[in-house]
Amino acid sequence: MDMTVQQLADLNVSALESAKEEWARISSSLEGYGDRVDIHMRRTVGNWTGDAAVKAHSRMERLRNNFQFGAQECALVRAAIDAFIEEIQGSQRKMQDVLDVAKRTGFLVTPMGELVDPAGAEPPGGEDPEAARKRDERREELQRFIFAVLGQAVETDAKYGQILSQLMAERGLKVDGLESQRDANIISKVAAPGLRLDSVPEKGTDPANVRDWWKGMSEEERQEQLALHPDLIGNLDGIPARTRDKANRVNLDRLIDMYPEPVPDDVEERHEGFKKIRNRLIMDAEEEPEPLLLGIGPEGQGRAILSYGDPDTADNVAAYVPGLNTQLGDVGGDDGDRARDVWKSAQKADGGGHKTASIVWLGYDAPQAFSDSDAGTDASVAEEERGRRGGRDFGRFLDGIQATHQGERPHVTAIGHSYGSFTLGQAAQREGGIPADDIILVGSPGTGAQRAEDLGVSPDHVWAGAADSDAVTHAPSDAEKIFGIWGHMTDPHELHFGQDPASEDFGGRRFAVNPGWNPSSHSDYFDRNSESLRNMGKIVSGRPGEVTTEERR
Amino acid sequence: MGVGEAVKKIDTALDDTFAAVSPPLKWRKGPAGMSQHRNLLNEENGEVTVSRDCYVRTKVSKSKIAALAEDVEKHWKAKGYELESRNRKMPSFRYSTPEGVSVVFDVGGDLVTISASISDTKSPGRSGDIDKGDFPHGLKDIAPDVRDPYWSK
Repeated sequence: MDMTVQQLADLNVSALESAKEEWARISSSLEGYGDRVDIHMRRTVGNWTGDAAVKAHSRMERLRNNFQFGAQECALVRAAIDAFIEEIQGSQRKMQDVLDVAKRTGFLVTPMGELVDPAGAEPPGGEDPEAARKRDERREELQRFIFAVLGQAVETDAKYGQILSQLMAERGLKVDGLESQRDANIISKVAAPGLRLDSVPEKGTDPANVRDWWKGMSEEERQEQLALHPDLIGNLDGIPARTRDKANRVNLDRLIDMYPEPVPDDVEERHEGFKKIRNRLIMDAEEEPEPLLLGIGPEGQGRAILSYGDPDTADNVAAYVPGLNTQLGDVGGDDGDRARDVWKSAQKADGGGHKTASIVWLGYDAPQAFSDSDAGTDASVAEEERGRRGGRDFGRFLDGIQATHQGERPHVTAIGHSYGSFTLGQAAQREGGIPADDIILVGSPGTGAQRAEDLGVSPDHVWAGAADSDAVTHAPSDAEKIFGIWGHMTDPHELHFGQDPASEDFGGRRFAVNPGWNPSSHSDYFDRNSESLRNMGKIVSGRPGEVTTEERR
Repeated sequence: MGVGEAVKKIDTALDDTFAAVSPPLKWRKGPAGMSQHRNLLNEENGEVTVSRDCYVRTKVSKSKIAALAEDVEKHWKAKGYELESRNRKMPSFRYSTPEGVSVVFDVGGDLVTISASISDTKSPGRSGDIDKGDFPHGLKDIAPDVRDPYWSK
C-alpha cells in the first residue's frame, strides 16, 4: 500500500497509545478471571471425583487456560502496538527532519514524496550552472531519503499488520500454553529489537547487575519483557520475586502443555511433577502464606523453586535445599509442605511479629539412589559434582534474594537436608561465602568442610540437627569403608562428605531433635510438632537463645 | 489408626487442656495437618504424623506466663502424662499422653501455643492440611488480640 508524506506526518500516535493501554487493561482483567476460575471454581471442587468430576475439571481447566491464553495474547498485542509506535515514530521523526532540510533549501514536496525545485523553473543563465547542478543533486539526495523513509514506514505497517493477524484465534477457542509461546516468539522476533528488549541478561549474570538492568527499564518495558520473555525473566536471579512468580506461572503452563497426554515414559515423571506444582499453587492461592513460584524449568530432572511468603519484603528468609532422591513432584508434595511448615514454625516462634518467607530450592539435580543399600554409599550419591554445581547455583540464588530485597537486609537462613546439606556446604565454601546469617544442616552426611568456620558464617550460627538413630549422619568415610574399624578409629567423626557437623571437632552447634527410629528419623526433622522443626523456626526467626541444644558427638 | 481418629485424639487432648485453664483463655485452632514419614531413600513409609497447633488469642502478660505454664503442666501431670523434654531457657515443655499423643506448651514472643500430635497414623498417601481449623484463609494474624482482666494484667 502506498503511503503519502502527509499520512505519515498525520499518523495519530496518541490514539494508538490509548489502544495499547486498553489491551493492557484487558490482559490484566483476563488474568484475574483465570485466577478466579482457579480459586473460586477449581479449588472448591478439588476433592470431587468420578466421571462427572473428570468432565467438569476438564472444562474448568479449559476455561481457565482460555482466560490465561487471552491474557497473554492481549499482552502480546500491547507489546506489538508499542513496538509499532516506536518504529513509526522513528520514521515520523526522520521524515520531519528531512522535510525541514528540504524546506530550508527551498524545495517543495509532493504528497508522494517527490521534491520540486521552484528555482529549477527559472531560465538558465541567471545562475551558475555548477551551483544549479549541485542543487539538483542535493534535491535528488533528499528525495531518495524521503522515499526510503516512506518505504520503511510502509514496511513497518505491513510487518505489524501481518504479525497481529497471526494472533487471531479461531472460533471455539481451545488453546494451550504452547500457542501463546509460539505467538510470543513471533512478536519477540519482530518487536523486541524495536523496543530494545532483545538484551535480557544471560542466566548466571551477577544478580546485582540483573537488578540494575531491571530497575533501569520503565514499568511499560518491564511488562513487555514479561510478555515476550517469561522463560528468561522467571528464572533470572536478581528479578523481583513477584515478577518471577508471574512469569513462571506462564512457564509452568507451557511446560505442562509441552506434552499432550499420554506423555512419553521418559518425561512422565517431570510432567507429573509440573502438574503437582500447579495443583499446589491452585490449592494454596490467596492463603497465608502465599505461594510464589520463583523458578521452574525442564533442565535435567526438572527445576522448581517455591516460596511461601515474599522474600523481597520478608524480615526473615529461609531457603531449604532438599537431598537424596528428591524429584520435581516433591516440591508440589512433601518438600513444599516442609517449606510451609518451616514458615509456620518461624511465625510461631516469633509470635507473628515479623514477616517470613520460606523457600524450597530444587535448582539442581538431586542424586537418585534406588535401593536401601544405595543410600549413603551409592556412587550417584557420592558423586560430588551435582552438589558442586548445585552449590554454585544456590549461592547465586541467595545473592539474588539480597539483590531484590526491599528495605533493610533480611535475616537469611540456609537449610540443607541430607545430600542437600552437602550442596549447601559447597555453596557456603565458595569465595566470599553465601549471604546467609545462619546455616542449618539436618540429617547431614557432611558438607565437604572440616570445620564450621569454613562455611563462612560464625560457628555459633552453624546448626546441626542429627538424630543418633539417623544412619545418614553416620555415613562412613572412604577410610572407614576400606579399612573398617581401623579407618573409623583414625577419625571417628569423619563422614562420607567430611567432618560430622554434629561433632565437637566440627565446632558448630547441635540443636535438639526427637530421637526417632531408623530409618524414618532421617526425614523426621521436618515433622510437625517435632523438637527439630520447632528449633528450626527459632533459628529462622532470629531467636538463637531459645533453641534447645544437645551434646555434640 | 486412621487420620480421622488421630485428629479426634489430638483435639481431645487440646480441648481438655484448655478446659483445665482458669480463668478460661480465648484461643483458635490452627489447621490440622500431616507430615509424611520417609525412609532413607526419601520414600513414604505409609505413616504420617497428624498434628494441630492452637494459638492463644488472650494476651498473657509476661508476669502471668509462668502461672499459665504451671496450670497446664499441673493438669498434664494429673492426667498421667509423662515429661519428654523441657526448654530450660523459657517456659516450654513437651509431655506424652498414655495414648501416644505428644503435647507441647510453647511461647514465641507474646504468643502462647499449645500443640498436639500423634505419629503412628496410617498415611492417606499425601501430606499437608487436613482441615483449616479456625483459619479459613491461612494463618493470618496469629498474634494475641484479646485482653483479659486476669491474664493480661
